[in-house]
Amino acid sequence: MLISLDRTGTVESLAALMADTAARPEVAGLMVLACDANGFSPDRLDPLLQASPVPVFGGIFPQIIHGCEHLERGTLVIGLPVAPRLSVITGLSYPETDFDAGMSVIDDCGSTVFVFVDGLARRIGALITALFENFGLLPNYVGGGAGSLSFVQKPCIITPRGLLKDAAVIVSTDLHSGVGVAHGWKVVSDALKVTASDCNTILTLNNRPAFDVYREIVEPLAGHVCDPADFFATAKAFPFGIRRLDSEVVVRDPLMLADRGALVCIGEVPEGAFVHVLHGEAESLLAAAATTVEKARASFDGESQALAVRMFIDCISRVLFLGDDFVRELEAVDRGEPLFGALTLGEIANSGHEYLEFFNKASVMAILSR
Amino acid sequence: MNLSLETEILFRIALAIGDSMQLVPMVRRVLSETLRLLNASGGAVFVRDDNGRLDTLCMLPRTFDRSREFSLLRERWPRPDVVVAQDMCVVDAADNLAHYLFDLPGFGMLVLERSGPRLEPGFLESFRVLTRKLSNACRACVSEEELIRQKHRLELATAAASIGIWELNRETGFLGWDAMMCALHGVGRDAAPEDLDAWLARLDPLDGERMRSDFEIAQEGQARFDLDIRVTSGGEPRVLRVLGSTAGNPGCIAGVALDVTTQRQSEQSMIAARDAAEAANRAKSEFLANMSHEIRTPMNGVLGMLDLAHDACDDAERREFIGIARSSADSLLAIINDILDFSKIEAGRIDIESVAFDLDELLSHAVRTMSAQASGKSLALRVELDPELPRRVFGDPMRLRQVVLNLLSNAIKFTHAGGVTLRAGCRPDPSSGSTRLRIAVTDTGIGIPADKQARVFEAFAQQDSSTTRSYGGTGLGLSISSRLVELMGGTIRLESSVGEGSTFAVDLPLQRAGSAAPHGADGMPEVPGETGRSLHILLVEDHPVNQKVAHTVLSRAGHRVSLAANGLEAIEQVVDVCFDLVLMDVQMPVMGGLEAARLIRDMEREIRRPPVPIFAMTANAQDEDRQACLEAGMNDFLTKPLLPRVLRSRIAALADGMSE
Repeated sequence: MLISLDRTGTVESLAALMADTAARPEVAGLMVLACDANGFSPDRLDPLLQASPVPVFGGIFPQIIHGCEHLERGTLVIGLPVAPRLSVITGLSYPETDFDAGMSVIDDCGSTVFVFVDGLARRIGALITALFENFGLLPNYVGGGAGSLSFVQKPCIITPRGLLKDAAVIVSTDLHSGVGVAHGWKVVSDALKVTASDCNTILTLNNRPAFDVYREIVEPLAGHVCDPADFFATAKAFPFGIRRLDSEVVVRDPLMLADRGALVCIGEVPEGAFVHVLHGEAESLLAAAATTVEKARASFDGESQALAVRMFIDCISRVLFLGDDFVRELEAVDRGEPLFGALTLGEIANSGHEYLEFFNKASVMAILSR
Repeated sequence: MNLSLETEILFRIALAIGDSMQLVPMVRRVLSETLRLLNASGGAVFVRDDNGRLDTLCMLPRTFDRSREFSLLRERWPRPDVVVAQDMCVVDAADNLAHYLFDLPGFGMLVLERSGPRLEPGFLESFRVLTRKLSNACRACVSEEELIRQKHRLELATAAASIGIWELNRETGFLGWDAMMCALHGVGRDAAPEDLDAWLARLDPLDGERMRSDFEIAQEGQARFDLDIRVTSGGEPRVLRVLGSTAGNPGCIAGVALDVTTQRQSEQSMIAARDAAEAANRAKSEFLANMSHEIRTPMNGVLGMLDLAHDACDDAERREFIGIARSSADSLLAIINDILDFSKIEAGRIDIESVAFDLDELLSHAVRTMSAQASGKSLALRVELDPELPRRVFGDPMRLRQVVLNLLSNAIKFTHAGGVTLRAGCRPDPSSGSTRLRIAVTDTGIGIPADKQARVFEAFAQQDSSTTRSYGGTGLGLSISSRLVELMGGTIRLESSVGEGSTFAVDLPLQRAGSAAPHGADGMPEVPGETGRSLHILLVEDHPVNQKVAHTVLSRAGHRVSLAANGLEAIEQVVDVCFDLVLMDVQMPVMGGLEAARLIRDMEREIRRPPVPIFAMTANAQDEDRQACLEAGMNDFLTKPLLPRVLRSRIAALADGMSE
């Protein structure tokens, strides 16, 4: 597997890198992970993507990871030694979109499925449910939400058709993999009932405006007032969590404050669900990230990890939360092997024995081998 | 697992159960939610068929049964009946993977695949409550879907049959119509009336009032209703039949409506056709009556004149010729009478009367009537009457005489040697407790073959055409006799052997009459002999031949005869002269006999004059004609052609009565 980095973040550099990589005889497909700050737009990128001699997929993320570095500008091009099988689903936020039909074009889900999705789409949870129901846990899954930290939805999914908004690309491969996922956030409140919601927006908790309830819990814990004008400054340390049996809670990251005290999250929060407010410490997050490496190794389904590379999908909110300490997170997962990845808006991971979920604020480590 | 997490999980799953009434979507939602909340890697719901076999209803993920782990665990599942008996089973594998099998009572089985620690017994106990609810919800969905299927079939059937369905909720007053009701009334679904008043307002006011009344009765639970209403659908007037009842549900009245326009049109066409047929039948009867008159009138002249010519002729050879002519005319009259009788029977215009008469005399007279024919063929004609036979009985003497004469006539006709015997007796009828009259005519004639016996009572069916050629006759006699006997409530049977003879036996109900017959109700026994008293008779007759015949007969009998050509002339003469008798023709120009008789009676009452006897003379032989004459005030009824013998005897009887 060939990992190439362009630090300039220009389309021209990307074009050269893609051409070089695709020209390699062992390369059968390209994964492209780009930074939002590159400023790629469909009119610039689409001709390049559509001209690619091999299937190309990926996304534009707030940051990318290369070794122990996390970059705000630049582009990663990964040459895959196996031919990827792609399904592109558009209109992700629309209830009428038939995910099952979109997935039916993949008749063999292989052993590892990459999933990149517009992180600000409204029905990511439904897409993940459809993935589980169609392919089950036969393959391992790894991927995450693309998009911008501006939280403005824009084209961010890289496909052979071009750069797409409100879309997802599902890529099945015959790569062997092992996946580990953890986040380190802990429950710090009683259950709050989601009494009204609209996809990824919590309208009311316990029959009251969600923000009113949220701030009543969070402000004493944070020791400061939750400023509606700078909501995420507080919220990044106090996400919601939905509990599951015998597993870490599923985090739902409240990104923004909306009208009438509604809270917009990454990923759906179904009406009737019970959520808890979570809080994490730097150490607990770093420890959790470290466990992903071992989990991934333990679940690896290939024969040898000697030629493996590691793909690290980490939530951008962990960068925001950890600040300068985030370098410690990359060091915690560094084992001296090639490492690449992205800092995402939500994470997708499963190693074969649990219900497939769309995570927030989580670290996902995948060991990949031909 | 802590209690709050358990509560959260169970609550979320419970929310999904029954979330939809469509089976597969509901099960998929529950299964998906359960897998998510229990962090399970797969699951399935199976339906148990009548043989206990499990069929997959829903499986998540769809690839669930393709994994190696599934196959290994599937082989270790207990039999379905064990799962039913134990309510729940757990099958473990390595890596903490387990299959949890839950019985869904009355429906099937739920299977969950999960890694990690075993689910705790307390949680499983709570979860069992939900699986039972899931089972109930599944059965409800199946029932609902079956109901929807049946409703769909019913809608198809009602649409095919153009039957609309309606329902009125008595408590809310809401009226529900299905699509066909709207179509029948020619309105769109959005314009369907929502209460009874709105429905009734669409109808003709009269229909609306009738329907409101029926609804009120039905609301009291007293009856179902069934009425036709007129509506306009698509600009066309239609007739709808509306049926409804509470059907055991006091909360509502429900029913159907169907378009009976075509049926009603057919009924009206049938009524019109029936009326036309009845009119045609009446016209035929009228024609029959007219023909009866038209045929008998000239026959009256023929017979009368032949009688007069015979009496006036001294030449033996001419008298013989006249006698032959007279005999032929008699035969022709008999044939005409047969045909007219048969036509009347066919038209249902024969009324059987019940009057007291002398049975002994009727039978003896019939034998005497036929004795000349019998002796002409050297046949012995005997009569044997049971001593127990009552002399006076109730019945229709005219029709009975007709039957007996027909049987005797046939017997003589088809017998060449030996004799004919008339036997009459009576027997008790155990079944009814009454008495039956049996009259049998036995001959020693040619007999009737067995294969022809069944047809002898059919019209126009002599044994074969050669019979007609050999023996003459219309072939109607036995058919008429058979029909008359049936009308009199009796039966007629035949026993016959070829070459040995035949017996025709009539069996009739017999009702004894007192020794004295009520006045005017007796039959018309002929009074033999002539009276010596001369009467002044007014003969009212427009037909010159008939006038001549009657005048001659009466004059020769010694009566004084005055003539009137119509009813008006008759009245004028009756006013001036006190006649002993008026012989009144019925059909005459200027004024008919019926009107004249009524006016004569009115006049007599007015001037307090004793009523003069008036005898009707008419060729109309129908019973209603006779009744019309009596109602007009006439005393007796003579059928044309007037036979001199009959005319003389009637007048003699009248004269005898006057003498007494």
